[in-house]
Amino acid sequence: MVFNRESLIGIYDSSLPYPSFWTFSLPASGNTLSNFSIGYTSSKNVRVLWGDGTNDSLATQVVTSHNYTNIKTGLTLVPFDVNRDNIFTKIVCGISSPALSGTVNIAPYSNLTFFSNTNNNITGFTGSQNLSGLLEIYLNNNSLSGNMPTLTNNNVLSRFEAYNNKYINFSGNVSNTLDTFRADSNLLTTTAVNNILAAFVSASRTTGNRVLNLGGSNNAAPTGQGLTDKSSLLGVGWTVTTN
Amino acid sequence: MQVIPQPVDILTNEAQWWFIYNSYTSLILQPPIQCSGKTSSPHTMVIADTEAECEGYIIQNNLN
Repeated sequence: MVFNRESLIGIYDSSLPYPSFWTFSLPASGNTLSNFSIGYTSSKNVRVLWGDGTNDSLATQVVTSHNYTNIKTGLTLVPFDVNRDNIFTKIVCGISSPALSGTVNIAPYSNLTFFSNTNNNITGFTGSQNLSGLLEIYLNNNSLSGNMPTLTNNNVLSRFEAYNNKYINFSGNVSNTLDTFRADSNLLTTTAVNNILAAFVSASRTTGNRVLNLGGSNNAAPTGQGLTDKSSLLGVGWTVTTN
Repeated sequence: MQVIPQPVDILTNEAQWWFIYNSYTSLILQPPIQCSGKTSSPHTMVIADTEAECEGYIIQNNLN
């Protein structure tokens, strides 16, 4: 089964823009994907197209789930589709069996405030850098690698968690609204760890939760200015864990 | 179980469970986790062998 934009147009109001597709890579032929779920908050009714010929029209549903069967080899399905991306303010991707892989791009969801995709196997997460309304991001227990998301423009972000991934690098600044940051058990280099500590010193947050965790297996330890920055954060009420 | 006020570079290993709370407000700032590293905090650190021990301490001390 090939699932493409053109095959969906008929069910949409033609005055609306084409839907944006959020795609995941599903398991190989013959497998069953069970308990795939998405929770969301939106300002309008939502139709979920599961990509296997079935769909659900939902009014104020918070979480919906679907079990896939007879998945074809190498097929990328479209488990989630909307008539307008910007109606969404909250998206929670549940845990499936086996875990979802593939990449997620949240850039189209311009009014998103909350995004969570934990305990899956996604390898890429993009599109968050210009979503100025994001408050919370949860990416724990996946296979994300390379550069951590740039948080410089997330001006109201209060919580970012991405522990137990394979992130290596971090650069840029963080907002002084950010008071919980977890990137423990990644592959962060000394430079990345030092950059994160420096970013939080620069942000100068002195109220709120103030938890910063860069410990865990495989992250490098801070050095030089990084150690000084760790002490500085402790002095203004932060709880800091490093290797 | 160890209860450590104002920990400075307290070393934990991957098997241990620990959390951080504000002893004045009773608010849990870092819920129980298993995470190795060196932790410093102006608050109180509790280290235990199991998550259940942490939960027991939280209940006994009315932390939230």
